[in-house]
Amino acid sequence: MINLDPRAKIVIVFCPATLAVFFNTPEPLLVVLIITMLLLRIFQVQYISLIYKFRRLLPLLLVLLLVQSVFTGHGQVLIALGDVQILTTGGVSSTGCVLLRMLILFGSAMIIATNNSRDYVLALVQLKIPYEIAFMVLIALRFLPVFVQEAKDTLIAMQLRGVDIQKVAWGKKIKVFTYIFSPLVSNVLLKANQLAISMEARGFRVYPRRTYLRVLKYDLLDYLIIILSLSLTLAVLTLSIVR
Amino acid sequence: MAAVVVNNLSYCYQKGGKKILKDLNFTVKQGQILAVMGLSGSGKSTLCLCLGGIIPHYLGGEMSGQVLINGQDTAECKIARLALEVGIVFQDADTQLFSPTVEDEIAFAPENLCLPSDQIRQRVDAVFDMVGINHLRYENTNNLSGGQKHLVAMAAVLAMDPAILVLDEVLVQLDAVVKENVVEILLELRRRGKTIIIVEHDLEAVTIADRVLLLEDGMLVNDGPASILQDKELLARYKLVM
Repeated sequence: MINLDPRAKIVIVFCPATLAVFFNTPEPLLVVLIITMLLLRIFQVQYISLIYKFRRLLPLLLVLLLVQSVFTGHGQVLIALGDVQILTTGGVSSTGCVLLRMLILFGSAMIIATNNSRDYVLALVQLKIPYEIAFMVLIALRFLPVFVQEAKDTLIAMQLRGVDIQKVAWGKKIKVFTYIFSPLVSNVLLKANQLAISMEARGFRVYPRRTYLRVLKYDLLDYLIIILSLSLTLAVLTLSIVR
Repeated sequence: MAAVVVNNLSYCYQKGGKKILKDLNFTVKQGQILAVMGLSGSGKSTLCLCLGGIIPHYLGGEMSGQVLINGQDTAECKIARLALEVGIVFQDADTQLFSPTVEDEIAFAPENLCLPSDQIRQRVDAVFDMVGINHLRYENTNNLSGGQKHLVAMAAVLAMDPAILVLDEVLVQLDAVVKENVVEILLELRRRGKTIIIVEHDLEAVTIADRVLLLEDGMLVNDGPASILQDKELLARYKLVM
């Protein structure tokens, strides 16, 4: 695997993400997605699982497809129910764009995950971001799976007490979820408080600056990749605007 | 000079609420191992928070009296400043570890001290050797066992090289082999002149103490040498043995 400076990876991720937001037709977005997939392959990221996970979004995309077709009404009508347009080429195109954009954004974000999160703290600090903010990012990333696990544990605890969430009626489900979220929020606050105490008790913010065990240094390859990524993105953006 | 001086310390978490600590008075000499024992709810962990300055700075409530750490009043000194003198290993290791690798976790404290990177490396290596967790160096802190997490949390505090080390019910959560290892580390730290305060309710864990304080319902009910741990009648009176 190519061992790049995390700052170079941030730039690489920034480029397809920018293009994904800029384009609003499926064709260029598909090209950007292919480039993102190639990048994932270069960084040896298993992206098949990402595509597989997106199957859960299918119902949402179907709703989006209907909403776009019925309410925006642009493009050729494919299916109609009397005067109401159910499916239009415009709706298909818009929904396709949303899906492609999401795949590009999630895919490019997976490149970030190929480095240790502490390296990104270093990267952000060396990019002159205050270290308190850089650590906030690190802790948010570190505790996200912990909170997901905590929510699952609370759900299991409820099921062990005889609440079968699958069999609960939709109206009551909301009430059940409030039972899950109340302890979750309280635990999150408690953990955040304990973590803050633990960090301060180890001298966090004792001085206005801090030093680091490792220091990031750009290689020639990092410079080349940063220049190439930015130049290509700027060229594509300029050409699209001029045309 | 006494490393820790506690004068008439009382504390309650809410103004006008139940007092968790009641008029505590004691001193700890430099290089001494002090065990603080008592049942759950006797105020042991609250005392640890007072020693680290977390009370009164971080937690509200009502504190009266004084805690002096190497002559500095904790009420007048920021927690981060006090951290240079007192290192606390808390009960819950999960909320103390947040770095992606064990090495990063241990380097966190020396990095805060603004040491040059070669000195940070030296400290980190010395702590890894002392605690014997070299094999965990590049492990993700999320994937460690409970005992390993406690060892890493302790190593992370030792990397600060504090003059006073406070362990809040850490030993009781370790298995016999790891506990023996930690006891050896504590004895080595005492030889180096460090002051150690072990807060426990497990008698076996505190046999290395020079002195034992017994807390009951927030009050100091006994302050004596480690030999009081042999006094079954006394321990039974405070429900520390059946």
